[in-house]
Amino acid sequence: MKKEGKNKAIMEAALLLALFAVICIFVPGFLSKANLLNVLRQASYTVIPAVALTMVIITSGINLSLGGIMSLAGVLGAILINKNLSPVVVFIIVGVMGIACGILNGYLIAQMRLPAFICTYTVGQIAAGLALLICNAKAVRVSDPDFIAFGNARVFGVQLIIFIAAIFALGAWFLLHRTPFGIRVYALGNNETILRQEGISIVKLQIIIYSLSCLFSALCGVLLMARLGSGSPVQGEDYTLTCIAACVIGGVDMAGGYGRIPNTVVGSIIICIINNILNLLAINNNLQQIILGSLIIILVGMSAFSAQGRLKLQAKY
Amino acid sequence: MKKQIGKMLTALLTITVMGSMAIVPASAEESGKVIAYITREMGDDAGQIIVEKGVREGVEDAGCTYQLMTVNSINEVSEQADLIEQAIAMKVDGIIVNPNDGTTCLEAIKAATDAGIPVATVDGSLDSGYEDYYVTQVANDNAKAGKQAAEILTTLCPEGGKYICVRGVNGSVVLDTRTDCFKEGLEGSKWECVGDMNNESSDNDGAMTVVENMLAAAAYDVDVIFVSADSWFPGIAQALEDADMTEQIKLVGIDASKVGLSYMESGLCIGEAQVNLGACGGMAAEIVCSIAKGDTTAEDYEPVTIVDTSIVYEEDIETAYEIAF
Repeated sequence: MKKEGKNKAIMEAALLLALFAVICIFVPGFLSKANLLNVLRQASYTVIPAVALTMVIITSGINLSLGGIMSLAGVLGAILINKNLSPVVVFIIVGVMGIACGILNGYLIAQMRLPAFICTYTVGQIAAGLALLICNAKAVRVSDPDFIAFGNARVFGVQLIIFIAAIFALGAWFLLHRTPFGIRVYALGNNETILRQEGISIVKLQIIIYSLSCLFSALCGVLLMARLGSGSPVQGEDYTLTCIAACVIGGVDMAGGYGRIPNTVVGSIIICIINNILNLLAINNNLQQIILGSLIIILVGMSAFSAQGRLKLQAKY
Repeated sequence: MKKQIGKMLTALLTITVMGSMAIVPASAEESGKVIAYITREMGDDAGQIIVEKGVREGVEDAGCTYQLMTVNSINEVSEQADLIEQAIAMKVDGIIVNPNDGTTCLEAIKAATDAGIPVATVDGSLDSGYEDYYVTQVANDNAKAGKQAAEILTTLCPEGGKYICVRGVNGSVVLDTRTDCFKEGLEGSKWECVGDMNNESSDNDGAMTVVENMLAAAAYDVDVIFVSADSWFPGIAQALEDADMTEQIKLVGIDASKVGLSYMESGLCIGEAQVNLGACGGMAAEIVCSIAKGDTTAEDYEPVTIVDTSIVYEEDIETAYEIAF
């Protein structure tokens, strides 16, 4: 089984590499250092919330509050920075806000048994509304030039956010793939009866998972605000669906039970590459949406096909 | 069967990617300088379409290559910053931006200027205090347009009355400026504001809903509705028709687009402040192309380049159609 699975993974990797080679040859400007770094930088703001979202989806859940929390975090962070609070304190306060949203999500879903779709969507709307309210619907310009410099800093010519996103991804990978917590996450998505038999509180576990997801989103919102130099009440609006698409393209099973952090990272990068190519080719935006949607369906289809193959291999052996 | 499906999906993916590469951009002629226009998707927004047309024709008339880069909506603020940074990576020779938000794209615009790429904005405005980040902002005088709309009321209806404001979508600096200046222009007059709200959404449905709500809140004791952009006239007119109040309540607006002028012809609208969006686009293109070609420098321009607005009364409709979008 391992050999068949390995062969399949090698074939998929080879296919992606071949496509990448074709793109590099035919799309003008794609291979430039500046463009590739841009793609990685843009992907970083998807990677951070998406790796935590992966854990939520593995448990058969969903978190539609990402975007609203990112917006609220950006606005709140900008206001706090302008009050001369230390950036560390700002990150902590915003992080606590994110965790509070996550606890609310987790409690409503796990304890009150409300549908995750509705709960997280509503919490997201509340967060987005709060963002608009506290800044009176106007973006808050950051007055601290050092903080803006941090948001746009480079290390050895590479944007700092790329390294930060890598740290978030590594942390999520370690948590999910190398700790008992990760095993419980997968168990919750595959067969929660096992957890009950072991006396593990499903409610507590769900709350922790949603808290992590909202925490990552909140911290990403502050990082995005640092880069933009302002906290906009709509800055996170499109990130919810983008992160979900990144997870799905990365092969995370929306029905729960399967997903890998490295694949989600790749999924995030793929989405940014597609957007990048379409812009480099100056393709009409209306056509871009059609092409992007079609490509995502095809990529998701390939992921689903791969998932079915995996299940078939498991059944065979 | 599954193998066949897998092969088919792989083939489809390859064809889609290859096919997209085969699509030739609209303005691909090699003419040396590449000017990027970064805005939001225009859809059926006549104002945005005419701005884009002005920019495109201006760039092409200057002998440069035009590259359009769009985000999906006015709320995609960080995505717009991404596009500016992508234009920098593509090493374009000039950038014209219609900013979704005057604050969030500042850093990206500064990065472009630091990279030696001249940047001008058109239509939307940037926060004040950052004039060294860009060459110039080209815009209609939205503040003056608001005051001109107020002047229409005080001229045609000096006896005063009650009005409500349809402010426009949440977070739009342009629309807020127009509305705030309209209200300022009526301070000290006999006109009283009995309602002021944002649209529920950016389409006519949203405008219709907010007007219905405001009329009900004001017990239908309203004489004039101020509309910050006349693209919403159809939805508002529908609300007035449904309430059977088209004789009692009149409209005053800004833009004097073809849509708005048609309502002036029907008598529902008593006057508008007209903007010249096409001229704004053309002016921005002229400035950026000139700097990109080395004919002028950024220092030759003021931080704000204003394109004047004018008042349109019933007798001015025919002339107004000549520049209406």
